[in-house]
Amino acid sequence: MSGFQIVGLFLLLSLLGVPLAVSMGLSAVTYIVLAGIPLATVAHRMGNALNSFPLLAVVLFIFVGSLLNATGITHRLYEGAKLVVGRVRGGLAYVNVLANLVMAGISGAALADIGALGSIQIKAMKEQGYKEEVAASITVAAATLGPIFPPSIPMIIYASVAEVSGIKLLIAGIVPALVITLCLCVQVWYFARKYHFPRETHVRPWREKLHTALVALPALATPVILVGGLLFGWFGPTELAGFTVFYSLFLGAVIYKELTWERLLTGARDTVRATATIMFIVSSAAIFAWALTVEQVPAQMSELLLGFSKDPVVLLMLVNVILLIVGMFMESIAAIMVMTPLLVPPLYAAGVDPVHLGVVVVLNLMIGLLTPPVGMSLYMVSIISNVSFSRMARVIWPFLVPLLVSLLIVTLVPSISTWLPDLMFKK
Amino acid sequence: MAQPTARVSLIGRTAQVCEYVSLACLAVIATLIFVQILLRNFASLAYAGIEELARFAHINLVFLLVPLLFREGLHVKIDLLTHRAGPKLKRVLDAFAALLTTVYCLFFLVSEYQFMAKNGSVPSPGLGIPNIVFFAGAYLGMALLFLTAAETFLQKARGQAGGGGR
Repeated sequence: MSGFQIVGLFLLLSLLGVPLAVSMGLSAVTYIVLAGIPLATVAHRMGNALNSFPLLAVVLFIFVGSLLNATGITHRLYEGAKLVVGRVRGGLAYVNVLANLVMAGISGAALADIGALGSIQIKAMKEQGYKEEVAASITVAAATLGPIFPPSIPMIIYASVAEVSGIKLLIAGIVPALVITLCLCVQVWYFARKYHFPRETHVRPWREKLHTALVALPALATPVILVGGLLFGWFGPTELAGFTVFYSLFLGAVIYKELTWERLLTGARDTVRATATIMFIVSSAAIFAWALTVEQVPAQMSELLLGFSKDPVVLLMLVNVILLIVGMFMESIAAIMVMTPLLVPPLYAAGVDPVHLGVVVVLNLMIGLLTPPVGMSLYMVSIISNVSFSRMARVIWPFLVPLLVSLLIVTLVPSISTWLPDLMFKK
Repeated sequence: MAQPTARVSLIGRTAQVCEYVSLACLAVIATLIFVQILLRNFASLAYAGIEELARFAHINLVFLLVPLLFREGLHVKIDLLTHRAGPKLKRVLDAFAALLTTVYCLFFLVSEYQFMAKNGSVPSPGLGIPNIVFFAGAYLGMALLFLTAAETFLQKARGQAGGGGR
């Protein structure tokens, strides 16, 4: 059984509706049995894939994502962002982007950000006169910031698969996230003029502004503390996640007094479900990726790509095309697990920095969350906004432009990703 | 017919109990990591056992919840083609998915047995927990997933409503 037959079997089973984790695992198991490799490898690889300290950060960041609404942090972040840019034309669209950036500094997952902020933002934008599909599209595009700005669940998973420093990769996401924010704001500015986006007419008295700012401050300070902690070496990625959980609990229980036992339990239940869903895929993908490696698929992929070109820019552009297509059809974590071992060796051989490649891979796959037919973010926002998935799939395309422009910039200018980690770690 | 119903509910209840264990594991992970931050930053202490215990809890959290996820239809699936299928074909595909999940679990359990037969007593470096205990969550969870998937397969084959996937 060749490596490409393993991939073929996986695709066939997936398309027949078999759970992704089972499709990956069973394809690998079939190969192992046919190749006469000891079956003990399966349990060993699957168990060890989860026996990883860096991956604990994923569990804890999912927990943080579940706690954001329960602790009242989301609402304060939104009000704080509104205070800054709420009154310009298209103010709530800017608020949407900025609130997502701040949220990105806490949660690390696009779906968590849509779930936490989406309903508040879309409701407020609709009430102010935005079309609901425009509000939903801006929300879902801005949520792409979540996994790019640290902390980031996909980057932690990429780092563990590609065996690069998790801290470096997380820090590498900071400047690209700011580039995406800028591109999204330029689009909002353009659309605000072209489509006459509304502006807030209510003028808040200074006393109210001051009160809102003071209340929002502990929530707004969260990403500053976390990114600061990362940059100054107070925390590793997993410790950062642990600290964020307790800081969120502290804000919810002591400062905002909105956290109840019931909400905490609901958040914890959501967390264990989301964690087990992702990690079962990670565990099965480990044996799948191992089978591909034994069959020398990464080496064949290297040969194929390097035969096409040895120029890092050409290869990165090729990777962009491949991953954008993969992202349209494959769940992002599974795609990271499967594609990373295939892409890292050839790109590394061509001289691409693995940290830069990590940012490019994650950004591509996060854009994939917005593209049909398997666009998880689109599904999520269509549920929240009551705009049908097919309608979302039709209207989302213009909102992909700033993300694709950002991707191009991040791809062509590696120092956007590597400058800050190199500076911090004195390469 | 009373006997199968009792068996079904037993598998379901066991999966529910596993959820409580997973919740406890989450609390353990969060607490241990926070303790580690405090120890490292305020007492300049590092204890490998803390990290190991957190990883042990992680493995249990994931594998013990997998059966419940299957029961609730929360495993990620690509429904690109299947959502267009009619009810009869959908039932056949659901049964097929459950059957393959059962087969996968069976292979895993045989694999785990072979692995533990040789390495079950190997202790972990920090706390000295033998592999057979350290990875207990994995084989218990997959054994329960085997039962849950088999039960779902039988339900689908008989045309009854049941779990499956999303």
